[in-house]
Amino acid sequence: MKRELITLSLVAFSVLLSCQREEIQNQTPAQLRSAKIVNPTKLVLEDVLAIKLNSDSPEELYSLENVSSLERMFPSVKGKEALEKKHGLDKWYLLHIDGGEAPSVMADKAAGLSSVSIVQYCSPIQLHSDKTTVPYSRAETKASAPWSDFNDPLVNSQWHYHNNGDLSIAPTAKAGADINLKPAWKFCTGDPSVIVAVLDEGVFYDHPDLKQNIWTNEKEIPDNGIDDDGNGYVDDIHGYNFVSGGSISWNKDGDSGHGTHVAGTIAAVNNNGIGVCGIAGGNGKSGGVKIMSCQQFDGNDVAGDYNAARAFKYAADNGASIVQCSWGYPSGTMKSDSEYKRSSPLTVAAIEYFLDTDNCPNLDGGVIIFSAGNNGKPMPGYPAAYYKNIAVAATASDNLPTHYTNYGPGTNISAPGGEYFTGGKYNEEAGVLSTLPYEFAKSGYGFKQGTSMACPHVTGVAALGLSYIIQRGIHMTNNEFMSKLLTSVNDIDSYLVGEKMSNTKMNLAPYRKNMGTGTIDTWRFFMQIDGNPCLVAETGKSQRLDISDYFGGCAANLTYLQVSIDKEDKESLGLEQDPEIAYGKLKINPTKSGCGVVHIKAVAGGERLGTGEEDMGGIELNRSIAIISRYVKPSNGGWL
Amino acid sequence: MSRKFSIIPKFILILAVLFLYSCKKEEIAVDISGEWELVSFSSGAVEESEIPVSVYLAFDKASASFTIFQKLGEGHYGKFIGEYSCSGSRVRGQYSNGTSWACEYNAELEGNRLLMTSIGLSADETCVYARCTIPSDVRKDADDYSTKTSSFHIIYSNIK
Repeated sequence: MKRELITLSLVAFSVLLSCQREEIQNQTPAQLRSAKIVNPTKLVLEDVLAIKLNSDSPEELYSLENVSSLERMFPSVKGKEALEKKHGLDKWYLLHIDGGEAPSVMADKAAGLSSVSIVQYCSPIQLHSDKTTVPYSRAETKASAPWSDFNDPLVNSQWHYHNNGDLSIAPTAKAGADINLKPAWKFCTGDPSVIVAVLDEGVFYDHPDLKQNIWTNEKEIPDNGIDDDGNGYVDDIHGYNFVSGGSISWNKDGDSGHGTHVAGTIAAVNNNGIGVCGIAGGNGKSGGVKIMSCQQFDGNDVAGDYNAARAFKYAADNGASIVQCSWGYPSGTMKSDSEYKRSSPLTVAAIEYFLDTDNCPNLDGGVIIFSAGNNGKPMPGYPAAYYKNIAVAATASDNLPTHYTNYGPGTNISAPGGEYFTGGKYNEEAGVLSTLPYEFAKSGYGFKQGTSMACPHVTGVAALGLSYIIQRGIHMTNNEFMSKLLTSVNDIDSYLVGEKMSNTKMNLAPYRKNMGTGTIDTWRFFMQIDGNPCLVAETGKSQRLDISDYFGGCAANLTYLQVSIDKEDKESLGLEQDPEIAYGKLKINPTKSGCGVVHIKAVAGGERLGTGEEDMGGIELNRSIAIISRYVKPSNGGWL
Repeated sequence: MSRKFSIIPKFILILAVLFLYSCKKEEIAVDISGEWELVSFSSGAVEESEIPVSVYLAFDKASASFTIFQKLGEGHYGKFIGEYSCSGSRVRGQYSNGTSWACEYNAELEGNRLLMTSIGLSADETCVYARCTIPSDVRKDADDYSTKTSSFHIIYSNIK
């Protein structure tokens, strides 16, 4: 009987194996080639293809005709070989197609080579801004007393840092609809060892209100045509122009000052007697964080996603800990992480490489922050929506969603992005004020609106927070860092009832629970970095403890995945049942006086986690909450 | 006449006894003034606590005021102020925001130690404090929570 069973199993296995082989053999050569070809969007760049090999040698690629040139996609950097190999970056090549050959024909030929595993069409990427700029043109600064001790004359027009509810900004402007920067600046204003890579239009690095906070590659000698530091790029002094391969530019036809504006929000120089402030711009005595310009957009030249991939690796190899990206594909171009990974394996590999790079001794890994997009859809665009990137939605001076912002699952957090029509009345000063090249604003400053402008607020807060971590001598993994960043928020959901007027009447209900964890709060982030006090529970009572200090103002609306406590701590507190989260509060019934730690997992941005698979979901938040149980519990939190 | 004279001394004596009897003996209030550091509470010795706990008390007899510096878990020290009074060994207090202490306490001094045991709760909790000098960096670091009227847990809301 036993022998018969074994024989039956072997026969079944052989049949299964031969069926699979038959399936592969039954595929036509055309089908096999087609399976290797991927395409992020319907638009493709016609002169290049990205090729991934399954071998170490590109020799077979040289056999293709109508190839004008072939190059490694990513220069290899000494000391990074193991990480490059881990993420497959050493296998990618950029094939330049000779004029006349259709990319589809070349793709088919390349896919027919046995050493080729993927052929990816390259697609254009878009800025998340309407590209309009409103120059700052006031002769004098605002009359009211400055909210900051810094002497930058335009700081009072930066309501997005400190909003006092001035109704001249918008008829519905709300006090507190800002990033709560003022109290944080008492403790930290930036650290020059923190490098933020801005993947965008070129940054005007000589802007007088940016210059001091621009990254300089000290190992590279300017303009000698030599890759002095061996990083694969020539004359990359303040970053690199990945479009033209030449020097960084910001003022060609088709440019808009976008990169300079974004950079200014993050790190415009503070307390220098001119212009505006930057979130992590220093204090006039000590410098702010450093901006590395990784140029993706060059005038009217089309920006390709492969340039973004190269920029991620460049940022990783040259010291950046944070990458700021106010661009992407339109909402709905891809609808799940698996679709994005399948169609854009090149950029995904580069993103993973950056996230896996330790460039700051106080932070394991990197952090990538994207704008959610401006299509006004309940779905952020990719790459923002990718489960390892932070996707930022935009709010206005009324603390409500802007009319243009994308939202929905996969959106992780919100920040001010400006909105000219808040309250139904046009005012450009309801936009975000920052630095601009003189070609776009004679004053060197101007307003813009977009999730493009919301994103650098979160980036700036992240950079300032990382500076504070360095100052405090604390160490974190990037998940701990992101968990604290994404829970350092104020409630927005309770305001999302009824309607608001912008350039159109907006029903606010669809945005509820869809603007991520809430609106970023810099001071809360500092408090989280300093460490959270423990919660005090009353012994012998079943109670619900407020966890908003740990999970932000929207704690009640988050999706909680797991609440756990170690066995010893459960015994110490005398818990007969495990604690649980109910209506955003921690339900606990300690029967003994004791101490313990409760571990909580939640989702930032939706009801389920993004897994990189057939969904679009949020980022995993991990927080541990310390509990002391006492019979004595005054209502105001005092000890006696 | 002699009878009158013999009643008066007895009367005075009776009055004197009654007077002495009716005078309440003034209770001697426990003197907890000074600065104290928490060394153990219901969960055990502070130094053995899994979660960092640090509490300093300062009682000023002349002004009948107290100050608490406390750090429970991570973060900064918080400062609470208010008034207290002693009646015998019983101590009661009220924070400056009007909130009373969670309970009254029975205070005992044992050498350089102060034992404060809760009164009237479902179970007794005794905290032991050692006489100390509150470190200057604790005083300097403390966030002033004395004006907060709501729960400890919203102290990190927007500070303008």
